[in-house]
Amino acid sequence: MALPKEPLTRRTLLTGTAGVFAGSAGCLSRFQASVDRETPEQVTVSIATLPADENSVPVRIANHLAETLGVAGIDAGVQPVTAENLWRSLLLNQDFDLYIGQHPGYTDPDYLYGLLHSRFSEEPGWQNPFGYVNVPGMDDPLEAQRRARTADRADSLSEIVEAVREEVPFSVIAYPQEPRAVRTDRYSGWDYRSLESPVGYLALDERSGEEHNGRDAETLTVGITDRRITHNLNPLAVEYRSRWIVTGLLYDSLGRRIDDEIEPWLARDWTWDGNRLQVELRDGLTWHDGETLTAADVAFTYRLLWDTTHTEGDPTVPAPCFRSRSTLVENVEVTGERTIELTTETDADHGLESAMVPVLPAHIWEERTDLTSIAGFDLDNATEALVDDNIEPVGSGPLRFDSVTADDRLELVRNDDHFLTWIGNNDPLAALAGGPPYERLVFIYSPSQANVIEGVQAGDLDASADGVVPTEIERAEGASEVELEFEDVSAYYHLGFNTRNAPLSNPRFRSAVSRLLDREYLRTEVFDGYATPAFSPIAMGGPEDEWEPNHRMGFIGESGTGAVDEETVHELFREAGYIYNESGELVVR
Amino acid sequence: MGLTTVLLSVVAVVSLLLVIGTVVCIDRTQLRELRADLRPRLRLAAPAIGLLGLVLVLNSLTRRTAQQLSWLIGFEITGQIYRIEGTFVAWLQTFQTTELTIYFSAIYIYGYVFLLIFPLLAYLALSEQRTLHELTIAYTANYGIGLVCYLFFVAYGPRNLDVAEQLMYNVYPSSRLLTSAVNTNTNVFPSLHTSLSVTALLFAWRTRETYPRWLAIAGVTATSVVISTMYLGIHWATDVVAGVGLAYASYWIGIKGADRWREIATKATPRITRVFRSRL
Repeated sequence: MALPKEPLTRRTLLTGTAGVFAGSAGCLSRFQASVDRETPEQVTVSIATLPADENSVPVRIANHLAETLGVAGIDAGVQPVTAENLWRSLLLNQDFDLYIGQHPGYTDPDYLYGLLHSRFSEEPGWQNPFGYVNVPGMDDPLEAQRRARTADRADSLSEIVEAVREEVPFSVIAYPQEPRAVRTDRYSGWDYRSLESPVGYLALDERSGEEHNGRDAETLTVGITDRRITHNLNPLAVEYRSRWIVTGLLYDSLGRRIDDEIEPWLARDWTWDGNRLQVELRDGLTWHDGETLTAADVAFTYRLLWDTTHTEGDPTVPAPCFRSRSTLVENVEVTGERTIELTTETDADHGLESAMVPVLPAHIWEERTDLTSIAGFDLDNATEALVDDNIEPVGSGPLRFDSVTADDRLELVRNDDHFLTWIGNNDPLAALAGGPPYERLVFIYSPSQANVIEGVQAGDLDASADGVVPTEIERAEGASEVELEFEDVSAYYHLGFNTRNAPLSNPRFRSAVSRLLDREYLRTEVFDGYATPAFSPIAMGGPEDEWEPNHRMGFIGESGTGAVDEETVHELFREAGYIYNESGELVVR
Repeated sequence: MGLTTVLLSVVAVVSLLLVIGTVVCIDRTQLRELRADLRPRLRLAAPAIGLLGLVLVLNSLTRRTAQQLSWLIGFEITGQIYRIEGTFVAWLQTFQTTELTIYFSAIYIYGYVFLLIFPLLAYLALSEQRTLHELTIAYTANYGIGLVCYLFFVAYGPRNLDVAEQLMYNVYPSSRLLTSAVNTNTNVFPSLHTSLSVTALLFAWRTRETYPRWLAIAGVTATSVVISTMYLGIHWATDVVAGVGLAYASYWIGIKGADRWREIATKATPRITRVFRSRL
């Protein structure tokens, strides 16, 4: 058969072209299947922490973690940031991946309610900074421990500790032993109560004249390496506070913890009626500006902590701290000039925690309930109460603000109108009667702890306000006339995760990361032995804590070496569901 | 030892070094000439020195504000620098001995100050005053550009990342009182210790025919200062490289800017115009 005369009609041409496309369709879908998916990329995390100048401990922990994360195929960088900026980005802006830091410390396990309850996942401050949400697994026991009687409470608390270890919103590393460098020629009683609490500053005793070599004992001078107190004295400004010691001297609370018991402080006495706490204030309480401190101030304070706008409507701007304590209180009612009734979510067993918030003067703070505005624009997430530097605070505490020089010193003077100066011998606070044994308390900023220790040795300073870091303990021990007062503190070092973003949102991933921390290695190499490794956020180390060098949830490598084996670590992350590329990088889509 | 004591020790040691430097490097005739002609020379130098002083004062007044601003707008580059150079500084510190630590600490504090001040004196002793102006402008450029960099780059030195030991501050804690009074620990990129020392060295090379001995002294001192910044764990090698770059730029600005500066200064202060015309 002869070929058609017309070699290529339009029709055949079209058919032929279609055939070509038809033939390539399989190829295209293969192309699509391979290319049209996101390329896996290595997991990169940043570990925020303090620079060694501010504290040499956390940056060393961060370096250890960055190294083991590197072996795990995760690209980790350590990012040192000033304390103020660190806490601002972690607590206020939730802008971080991982951090190594120190918790402010706690007095009652109920602090975990604020730290971990999902109702706080959108709140700033020490309220769930991890953005962790586990509604039945965590919220239920957190709520149960509040309502439970002491005996049953232990069960709920164990459940919480177990959930923290399994789910790892944060990972406790160790409870440090913090020594204060002190000289004892002017004041004694350093070991009686610690500088970990404001009470430590009030419980000192002055030595008699000839004992302190004729040197002036009118002024207690302490060295501090945290310059933030010379810039801000607002008890609600969470990024400027580490443990609320200085503000605790300026502001009083209804009750205060003394030797494991919460004693009435501003309160003369209190009684429980079911879940209602009836408080009677002491007579003759005044603010530093001479105004009378009344029950109305106390009620105002709780309302301000619930919502610093102090209004019914939206937006509500809760204070970024004291939330565990302020949410224990459901209602507050002024029943008289000096009497007040707090309706709590719990009862006498642990409801007194709610009495430990700083009482603020209504006549000053009600002016600070407006939303902050910058250049005419209202910001609806902050009020003046949170951003005011409050550098000339009006409190009611045993010490009164006198003067401040930025980056240099803060001077407080004795408040001679404070109730401690007139209480009698049968008051529960009799040990503190008479008030502080000095006229003036001066905090002097020094750029490093080495300078503070030299200052104490030279007699320019009486003590270090901060705990001496392990790297400086040897210097302090070698310095003549300097004594070290060691104490175990509840301000534990921990690794925190921002659980809002993948892969840190995955508990399996977090759990694997937490197993890259060699607590035994850190105890010897970073803390020089001055710390108790731990898992539990409530046991403060010791026998109740489950930590032991080879715990099944502990370090994946050989405990004490700090080193991990690449294959073992990769297997750990593979078991958690992660994959590695050819160059051993842990990759995610 | 308080800050005052540290300052006094710097004044004492640097004064002694300046006297020795003068005896070794500057000849008698020049000194006699300087004494006779001191007033007009100082008046001539005053505007440029005044500008340098102004930059320094502004820096110290705005330090905290500048630091806060730099946390807001600047790039945090500590991690990136560490990625680039790794543990170079730690390696450098493996050569540490007690003697080296003493030597480099002394160089970092006293040697550096001497290295920057001596040329001001030496060039004031020259009958031709141009070099003094070039040097002053170059110093000003170092500070000016350096401070702008500090605003845009937030970086901690190796000692703050605990990659290196802080040798000087461990052995002489009081030196810390001085350095923290004049600078902030996030201002490490670029290294101004390096850039100013290298600037002084470049000028020493420029005046090598008049002051051959000073070139030798400046060579040894500047090299030591550069090494000390790293040996003491204060700066990264990256900061030092950037510092050398800044030094070259500032040197160039000093040389080229001297004429422009003369115009500006004569316009601003007509009273000394005549002196300028006749002397520069």
